[in-house]
Amino acid sequence: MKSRSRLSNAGILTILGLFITCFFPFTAYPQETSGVKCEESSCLQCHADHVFTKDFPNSVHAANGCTSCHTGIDLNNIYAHMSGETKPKLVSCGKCHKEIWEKYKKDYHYLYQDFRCYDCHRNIHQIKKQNGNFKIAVITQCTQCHTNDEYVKSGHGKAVLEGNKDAPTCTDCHGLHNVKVYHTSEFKHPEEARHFYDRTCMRCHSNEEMMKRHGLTAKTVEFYLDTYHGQVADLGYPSLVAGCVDCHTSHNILPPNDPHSSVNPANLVKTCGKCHPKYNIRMISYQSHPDVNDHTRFPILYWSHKFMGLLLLGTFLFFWVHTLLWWRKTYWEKHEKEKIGIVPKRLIKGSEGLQPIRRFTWKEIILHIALILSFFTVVLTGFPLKFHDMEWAKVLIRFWGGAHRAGIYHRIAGIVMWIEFLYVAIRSLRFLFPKGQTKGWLKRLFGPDSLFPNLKDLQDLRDMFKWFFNKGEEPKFDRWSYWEKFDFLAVFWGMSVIGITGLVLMKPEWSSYILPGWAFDVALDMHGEEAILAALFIFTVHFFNTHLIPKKFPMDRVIFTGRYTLEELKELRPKEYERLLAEGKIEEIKSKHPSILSKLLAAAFGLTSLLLGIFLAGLIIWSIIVHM
Amino acid sequence: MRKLSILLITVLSVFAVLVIVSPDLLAKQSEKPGFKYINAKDLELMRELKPYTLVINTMSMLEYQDHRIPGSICIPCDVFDKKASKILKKDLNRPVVFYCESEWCPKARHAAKRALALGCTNVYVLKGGIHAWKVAGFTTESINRIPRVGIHSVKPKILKSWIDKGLDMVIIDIRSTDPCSAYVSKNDRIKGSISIPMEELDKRYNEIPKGKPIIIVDEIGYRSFLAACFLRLKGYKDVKRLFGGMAAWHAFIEGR
Repeated sequence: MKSRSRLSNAGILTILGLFITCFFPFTAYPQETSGVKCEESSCLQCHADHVFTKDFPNSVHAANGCTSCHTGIDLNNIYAHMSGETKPKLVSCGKCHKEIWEKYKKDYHYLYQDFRCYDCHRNIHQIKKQNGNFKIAVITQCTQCHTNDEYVKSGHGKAVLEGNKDAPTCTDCHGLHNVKVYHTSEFKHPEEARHFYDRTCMRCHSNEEMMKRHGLTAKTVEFYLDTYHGQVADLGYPSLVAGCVDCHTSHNILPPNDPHSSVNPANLVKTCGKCHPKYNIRMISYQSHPDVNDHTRFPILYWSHKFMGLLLLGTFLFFWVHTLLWWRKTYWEKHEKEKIGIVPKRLIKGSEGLQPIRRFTWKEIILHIALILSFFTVVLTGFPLKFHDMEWAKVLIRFWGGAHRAGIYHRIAGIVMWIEFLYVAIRSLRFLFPKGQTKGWLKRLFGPDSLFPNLKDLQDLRDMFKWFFNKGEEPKFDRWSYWEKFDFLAVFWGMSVIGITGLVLMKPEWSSYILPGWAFDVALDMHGEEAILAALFIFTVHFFNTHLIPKKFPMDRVIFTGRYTLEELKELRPKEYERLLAEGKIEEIKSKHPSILSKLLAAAFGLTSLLLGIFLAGLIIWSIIVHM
Repeated sequence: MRKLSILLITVLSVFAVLVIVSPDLLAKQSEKPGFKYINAKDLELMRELKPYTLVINTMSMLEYQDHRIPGSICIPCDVFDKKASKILKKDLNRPVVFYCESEWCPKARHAAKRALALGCTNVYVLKGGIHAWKVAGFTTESINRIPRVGIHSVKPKILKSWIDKGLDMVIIDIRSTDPCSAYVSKNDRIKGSISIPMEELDKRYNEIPKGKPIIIVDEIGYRSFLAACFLRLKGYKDVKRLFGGMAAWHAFIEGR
């Protein structure tokens, strides 16, 4: 019995031994023994390198064992693996590192070079938790292929190697596991690459705290975005303008005083020349991100900006008060008349006042229509740049088909406005010197048919304010009232500022032969400020004075039909009426009633322009408030 | 008055036309290629519905064996005429899908045109190539994967300075000379470079002298890395590649 029991014990031990030696190594859920999974013992019988036997058991992945990564090995038929009959599948790290894998699936290295995790993480069997400098480790890894000497020598590279925690290492800009192809491919993806570079640079350079730590200003980004380059960049290319790296380069980023820096004055000629061919060397004094409020570094820009600001403030303060008082007076007067039942004479049938008379010739009508169209075009294509960070600006630029196309339309409309301006200038000269006759030009200049202000205008202005406050009669105007003269002369001022700066900016390479680079900063600032002045003046003051005033509300179609009534002439320009009567010229200007088609067109075009203008004025004012 | 109205209408309509008609609408309609483009997801669906769909890799055998769309076969485009007719003429109505490495690669399109010329009726080109296949989330398979190693890339500026200094090195141009892959004219080469197309590299690498620095040049910098890894596998120690390929080279030379 005893011997039998011994035998049976031996049998049990044999079975157990066999179980341990044969089955245990291949069990699906092995037990851990000192950080190494027991299945390894069988793998390690063949794979006995130091890496697997000594390093791997101490690595972060030790607990995973071999077969959790190296799948596709049939553990029940290990000989098939040993003989090479079956090969393990490609290792998929994404099984555990799901988040990284999801990102990495779109990474350039995977998509184009089929880099797998272990192609970078080559020491996969030895990886330990690292306590070293991650940024330096990244540089070491990336430079195995990307020999970017420029980066290592750059300000950023040097700082990282010195242990600076803020300075960017490769992955801070290019992404760790989501490297995009366009990161390195400006010539293949010029648009996306620029977007990426700008976004990446600005992420740190607009961080106030970080910039402060390194003695830099975070406002540089803001200043850049207010330049032409920045405005177009912010709206989204494809108009190729200089983004951050176009001037500073992508890797060789050095301070301007370093002779190797692309923005060192000695190298700027070449740097700017990448985009601006055949320019004069003086263009390099252009400031790519000037501070308009820094009067020590940029005195001319500072003072021109201040001057434009004051001009805007003064003009609007005066005219908006003028407009408000005027509206109050006429509205109250109209109310009084309505109350006691006084009807305008022109509404009474058969009255002589209904006689249509001509005020504008067809040339003037066409001129005005062309002016409206070209003006709206420059406003609709230019203001998106001025207020580039507003959502409506982006919508508008998309409508035009991108900043590049908007720029072309803007330039075409600008040239059209120049032609209109020159036409008016020639007409004005012809008016002053008819057939070359110089005699009496002063008389004509200050005469009643002239658009030049005279003493009467000053008196009219004074009387008008008296009338606003019920202290006198409404002044009797001649052919042109003082506000109409202001409108006209403002165009001369406006064209000289906006037109000349526009021409300067249209082709900076050519302009550089006449002007230094810093003049473009001044030109852009003045162009933008004058644009606000012109647009808001037209869309508020001019619109009110000529169309929205209660006497004419909603619009005065005289500029489109060229005609109004005798009664209106008497009421609005009594002095002219008296003069024409005395000179016997009334008969000359009598005309036919405008056709229904011209009235319809005038109403449709005029009202659309009015509504569009008011809407744009709203957008501009809103944007100014947002930027305050 | 009528004159004025006509003028007004003309001015307004010219303006409207200028604004509304964008040059896109006026852009010339592109020629119909005769084959159809298919995207990766549709290709997968098509393979499920029509398992006999033939997916053909038009790149080199090296690239094909390194990684491919599962189940695809390889007909390198430079030997297309030799190999394709046997395979394709068996069933001209069988759906055939050609692919190459990326959207920049013209090989699949060329192969598709040649397949149409053979009489195939269902010819497709995988839009965006194997790159798009991966973007869509599908996996690839490897037969003989070339191990990736660190290959230094050289920017055109540096390479130019080396050439100017007369550095003793071998520049290998792996672009195909076959018209199927954007034909390379003799003038389009870096002076002194040797042409060994990627398609022939596995057979001709012995021609490359050992012991000299090697620079691999390709079209746009996508293929030189694998070629360089292959040479390293074959025992060449100093192998570098031109960053951005000939596209970057031309851009640099032309001062872009």
